[in-house]
Amino acid sequence: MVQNGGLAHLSNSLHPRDQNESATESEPLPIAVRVYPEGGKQKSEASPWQCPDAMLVFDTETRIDQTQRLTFGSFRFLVAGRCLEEGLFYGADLPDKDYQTLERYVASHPAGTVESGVQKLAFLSRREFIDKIFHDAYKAQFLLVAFNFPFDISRLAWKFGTARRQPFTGGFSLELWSYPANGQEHTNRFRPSVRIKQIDSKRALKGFAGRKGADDEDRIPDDSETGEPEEGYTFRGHFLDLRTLAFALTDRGHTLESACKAFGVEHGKQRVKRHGVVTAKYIDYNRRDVLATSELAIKLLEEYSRHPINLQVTKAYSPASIGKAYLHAMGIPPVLQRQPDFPKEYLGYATTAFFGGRTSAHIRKTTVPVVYTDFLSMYPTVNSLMDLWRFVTAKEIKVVQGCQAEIEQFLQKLTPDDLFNPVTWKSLTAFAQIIPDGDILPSRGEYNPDTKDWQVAVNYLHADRNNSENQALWFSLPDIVASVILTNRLPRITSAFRLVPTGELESLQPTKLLNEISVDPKNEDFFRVVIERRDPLPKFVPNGTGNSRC
Amino acid sequence: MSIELPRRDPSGAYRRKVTAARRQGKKKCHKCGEARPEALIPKSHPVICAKCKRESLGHSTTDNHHFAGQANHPATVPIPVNDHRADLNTAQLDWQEKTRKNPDGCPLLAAAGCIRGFVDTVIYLIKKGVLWIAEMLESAHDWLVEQFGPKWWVGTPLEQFAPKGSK
Repeated sequence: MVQNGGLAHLSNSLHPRDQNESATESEPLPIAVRVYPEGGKQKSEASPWQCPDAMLVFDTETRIDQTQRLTFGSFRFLVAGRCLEEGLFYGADLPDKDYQTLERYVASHPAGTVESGVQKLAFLSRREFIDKIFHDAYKAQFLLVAFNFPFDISRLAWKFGTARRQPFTGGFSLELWSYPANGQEHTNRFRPSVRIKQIDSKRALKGFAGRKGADDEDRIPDDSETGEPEEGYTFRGHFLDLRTLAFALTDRGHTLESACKAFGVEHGKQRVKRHGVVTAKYIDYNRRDVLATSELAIKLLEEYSRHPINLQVTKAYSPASIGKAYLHAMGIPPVLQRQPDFPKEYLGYATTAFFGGRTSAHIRKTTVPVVYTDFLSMYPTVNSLMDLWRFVTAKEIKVVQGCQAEIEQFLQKLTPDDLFNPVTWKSLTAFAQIIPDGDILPSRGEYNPDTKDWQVAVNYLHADRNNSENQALWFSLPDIVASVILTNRLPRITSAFRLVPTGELESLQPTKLLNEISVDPKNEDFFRVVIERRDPLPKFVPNGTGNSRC
Repeated sequence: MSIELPRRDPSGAYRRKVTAARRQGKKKCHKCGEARPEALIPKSHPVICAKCKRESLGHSTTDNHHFAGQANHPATVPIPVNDHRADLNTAQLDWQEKTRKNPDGCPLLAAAGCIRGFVDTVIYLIKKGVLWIAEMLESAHDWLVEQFGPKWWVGTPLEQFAPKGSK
């Protein structure tokens, strides 16, 4: 039995338990639970961050074969939203014909810069671009901006390897800087590599690695008052992937085209008929992409600046990142910071009971009658019904053990009608360990044998009957309540505990959502404010396509 | 309209400015409050600017600035030391290196240096010697309006300078 994480072998059947049917007839399926890992670094208090006013925006075009090697790309260097330099760069092994097309283009097209910028389009090899423009960007700590950053930065690398250090372990280490010697390219160890680790399709961790012989000014932290270099400090870069930021701000996956439309970018993305062949039109297309990306960056940064939070924009990986930053703005530290002695095993139990959002279709390709239902702000509604804001703002959260009998009694009396009484929801803040035996519960398994990715599903769950005592699992009480309602039977509970909030944080302070809607965490339920003020909020998208519901 | 010349190497100029600022942190001269990083003496404790340092040593607080670059022309103009370091020297760093250094004494590059230096110096003089007057006049106008109303100049010797045809 795994109490705070790991794999458990349980039978997970899509068919209802039948008294005559042995669960062992089903094929066992390993399931996985989340773990609470101890020993993570406590994050230090972030000092206010000043977003650089300079940004380097770039985009690359590649061959359309499987190598996807760089053909050419373009960049714009902006300070305070004004483009001061624009240019093209090209891959080292570009055919002569393509090179000449680029050369002719540069000779006949001016740069799209302001009056005080460089009027001529720059024309650089990949190495020149890295050695001059990218090096300036590294030294002056610009924002490095692209849409789908990992792809474009990887096209600029001349060599790659496997990243070894946390948190990039298993990701890529990209070498951008090189020097020629003895007819071969060599990695320049006096320049940093870039490490990338993809989290999912919208997010990736990105950072410069350390380098040999870092200059003093590169070892001065962003927020330094004294300007003194600090031993051991490494500048990790300000990488801004607009795909990630658009997702964090809207909770939607965007393409460059859709993000430009959603945020009202003046010069949005254009389309091209044919990719991969270097022509003047194709170069126009690439330059337009960079223009669209730079205008989108300005729009997204404006939108982000409306949030009164202390979170580097380059670290806003998801809407949850922004939500957590709001908690910080309201003077609400993480539980373990306010209560370092909170029993870790209970964090482990609760973590194993955590299942994220899920969408499922149980009956496919069959016509059935349906009832259309719509849930507005389901997560905050559930949070508000359970009165979870008390926990968020509590000075201390207490664990009340040995609640098994109380919870069994509660479940025995529970009817579906009780759930229409808000008072019932407030008593659901408990966890129980049960031995599943045909209960309908969430589990995480490799349900698709082809993709073998871990997915959450709500199915009939059975412990291995030959070893059931060791296969008890923790579930949150709401999940157990759902099972009781669906199966009309009580689960076999082996242990249970309840969480009780006590006191109130002294550090609570009001904030304003999007600098407009006041929230007083002392006197208001934040979740309720979010629900009630959701519709009156000015939509985050100028053309009004936003406001998703779940 | 602000006076801004087209940049030759904007990313390089920005890098120089930012790295100089980072090296100084948020320091200011403890005597005069000068905050331009290029004007501050590196690693000075307490922080002091070049002008105050020279004053304390009894030295001249002006530099002879080779406006065209030392390699291009020997002529110099006296410039306050802090401005020399923070404005005119940094402006020369935006020139092409071959023009600034002119190692072989090319007459064309020397002429280019003279033109570039003349433009930089004129812009400096406009900013330092002229533009402040406009700002001072505007401040004085605001103060007079506050004290005597919007037509404060009527009945004063300054009325003769009012634009003709103004109501």
